Amino acid sequence: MKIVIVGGWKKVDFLAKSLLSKGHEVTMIHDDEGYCKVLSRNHNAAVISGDGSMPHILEDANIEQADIVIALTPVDADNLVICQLAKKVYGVKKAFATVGNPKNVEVFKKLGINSVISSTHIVSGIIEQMSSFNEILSAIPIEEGKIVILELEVKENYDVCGKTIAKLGISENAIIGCILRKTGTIIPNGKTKIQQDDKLIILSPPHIQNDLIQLLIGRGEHV
Amino acid sequence: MKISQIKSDFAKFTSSSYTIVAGCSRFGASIASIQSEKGAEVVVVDNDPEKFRNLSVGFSGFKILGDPTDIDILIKAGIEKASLVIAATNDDNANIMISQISSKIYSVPKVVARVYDSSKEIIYQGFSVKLIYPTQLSTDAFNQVLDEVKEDKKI
Repeated sequence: MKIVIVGGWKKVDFLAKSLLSKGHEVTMIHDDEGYCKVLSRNHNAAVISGDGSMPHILEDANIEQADIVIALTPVDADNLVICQLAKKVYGVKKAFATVGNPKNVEVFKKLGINSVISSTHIVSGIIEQMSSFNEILSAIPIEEGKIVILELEVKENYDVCGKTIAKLGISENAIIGCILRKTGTIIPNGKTKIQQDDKLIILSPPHIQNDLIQLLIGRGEHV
Repeated sequence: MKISQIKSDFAKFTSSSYTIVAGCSRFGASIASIQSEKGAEVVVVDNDPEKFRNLSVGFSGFKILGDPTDIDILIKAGIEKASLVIAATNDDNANIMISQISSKIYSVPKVVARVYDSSKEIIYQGFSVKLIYPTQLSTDAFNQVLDEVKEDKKI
């Protein structure tokens, strides 16, 4: 696929490497001439120096042929314009943008740009999750935090240890999607028995998380 | 336009009008000051406190320090009840975002945006935003002066 990436510093460097390794054709646009030289050295791809929100610069990057445009600049308004120009004027099918202000995820959607990632949102979501419970190994919010994936390692004294999934009594809104065990990965059913050292991968909406974890861990030594 | 028409438009406009000027550039400040002196409720938003100096002494509206592309700041400025929003920052992209939010999301009846780069005009298609092109206005004014000079020479 032909991909045009506008702006970004570490992000574009990393993203370009990843996309090129998968065989895609990448063109980068960046307004810092010095960084353009760095990108050009690092990657076997075209790099255009200029303001990616200007139509003539996008044309220099052959935007008419792009399948995807990715706007990574630090200024949300610039990313909005880049994506709208790409879609409205040049007929690019997919446009992605990152935004600094989490509120702009909704704003962009209302203005016609649907694929928006707020890094602030994701990072703060993860930090909040990780700091509230010591037991959670990692937590990832999905779909702007509507669903959370949790990874929980079962310790010996947890209530859930030794019980079958059917007997757990967890809320209908949550599901243990997968169990990582030393012997392999298990997609559990009602009869699966949870063992010590199992890593449970649980999906649930955030508001029932507290109760869910309490249920699994029990009164025990939970801080 | 008939005098009666102008008077009634004027009355309609100032009595119920709530104007937000996004960006206290000299242009924005000028519009804000005029509106305020006419009696309209005016709120000016800018990230840079120094910019508020552009406002005239006669300005009696509100000033909000903040990013005018931030929807929370626009809500604080009263966009939900605004009858007129003017996107007057020095940045085309910011003006595009502000005017689209005003027109599409908040259905502000009248939205005006200042556009420097006319190649971006096409983005406004589908949004009911009135555009002002400073470069074109200056060129038109210049051409008018040229015509006047030619006329003078003839006489």
